[in-house]
Amino acid sequence: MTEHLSEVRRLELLHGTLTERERIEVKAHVRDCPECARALAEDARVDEVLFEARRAQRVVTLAQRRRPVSIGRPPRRSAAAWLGAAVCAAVAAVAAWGPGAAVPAQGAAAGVLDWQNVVFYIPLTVGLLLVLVAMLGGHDHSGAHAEAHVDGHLEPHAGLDAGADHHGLAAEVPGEGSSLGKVLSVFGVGKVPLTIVLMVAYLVFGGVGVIANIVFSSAGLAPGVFGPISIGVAFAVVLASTGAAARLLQRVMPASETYRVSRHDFAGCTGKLLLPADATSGYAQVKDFEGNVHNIQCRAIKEPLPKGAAILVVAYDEKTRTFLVEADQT
Amino acid sequence: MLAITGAAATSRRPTLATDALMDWEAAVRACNARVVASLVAFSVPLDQAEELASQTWARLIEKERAGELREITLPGLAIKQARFLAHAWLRSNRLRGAFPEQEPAGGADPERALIARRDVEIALEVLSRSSASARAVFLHLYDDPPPSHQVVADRLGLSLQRVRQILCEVRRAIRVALEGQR
Repeated sequence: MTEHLSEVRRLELLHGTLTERERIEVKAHVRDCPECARALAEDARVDEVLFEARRAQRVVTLAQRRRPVSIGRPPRRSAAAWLGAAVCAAVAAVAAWGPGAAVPAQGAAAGVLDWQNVVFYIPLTVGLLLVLVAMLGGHDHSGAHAEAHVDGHLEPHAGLDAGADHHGLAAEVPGEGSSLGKVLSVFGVGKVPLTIVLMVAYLVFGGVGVIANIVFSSAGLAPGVFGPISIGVAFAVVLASTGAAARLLQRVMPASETYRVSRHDFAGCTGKLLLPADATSGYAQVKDFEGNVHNIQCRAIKEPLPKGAAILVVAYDEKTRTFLVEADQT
Repeated sequence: MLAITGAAATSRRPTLATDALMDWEAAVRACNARVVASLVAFSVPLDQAEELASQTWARLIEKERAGELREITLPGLAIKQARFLAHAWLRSNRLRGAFPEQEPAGGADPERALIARRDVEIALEVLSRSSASARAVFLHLYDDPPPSHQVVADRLGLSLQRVRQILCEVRRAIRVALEGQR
């Protein structure tokens, strides 16, 4: 074997997927070729990183589904909010046209105030408000009920089998397993947060009811007759469709999103010393990557630092439960 | 979303209680390449790395039989033990000027831990920007133990050549990103 080994060949050697004969040949080449031996070592170093990355592979999956997180609190608009807004706009368009069509003889204003319309406009309005709240970022549905804490202990020694750790990816169904839990799960509670389920149910109930009113009134039925029928139809559609809509939203929404930080996540964060820090003690205030302020016990890994000094968190020491910091040069 | 196969479950042998009967032969077969590679990564020559890996397994088996191991997590424990042996070996050889300054990363060294963590984040960042097929190849190939390229190609319905091409492209991108960071 005179030519240098290809990267593929070197990787096959590192991964142990060569046949015995191939392995002997490749090993003989590596023994005699310093260049390939160096390349092999470099490949192995990259492989180390990749195997660790593979351990944290769910982070990759989350990264595909998450919006990029920037420093400070990002605006939070869930896919459900946008979907709800679209549904709401469609229903509102129908509703705007509905009263006049439903009660052509009495005019639009009179139609709006009729009880058979009001019973649908109220849930429609509540649904709209929930959509607006979600869009304005007052409550993040995906993050409020779900949490995925990815805490990679990436130290090459001890951490090799203690990598990404994931907990609680789904919103919990209250009393899951009980009759109530089973009933709620039919509506999709547990798949997506309760507020999302309510939002969908309100919008569907209101929208279907308004449309049913239009259809029945154009068929010539009296309001006293088609009102109860519309309510029944709307209930039936809610029962049939809310669970399916929740399952659909579950696919669109991120499985998890969290702003919780582990102690190890502070590595790379900066802050100021509240008390002087030396090799044994110190106290500092740092900001995590979300911009939240934390007070931490720390110690300086290099020279002692005075009170008020800008610091960089280098790592967290599990044994002493303190953060290791040094002067922030930036 | 990429599906994760359950291959790791059989090969990684998560945490084995020592009262269970340990199949060392299977463990060595599954994890030896990773142990050797982890030593090669620290500039231990291939032949020496294989020798140290053999010593590693011998020690682990001995300790397990003596009941000294509370739990066995592979390949992590084997890699840890192998690096311990390699560290001693490198140190003794460095005294004779045989090897460059290169030490196994120590878990107690916060700076090294931080670098390792950052490297993984860079790799994940590159992967998250890669194509779906690139991520799929990565997820399948960097399992414990890594399957052959042909197996990955069969699982993903890609040609062997394509899998290798993707692998080299992804690794190149990660290498460039890591070098850029350093």
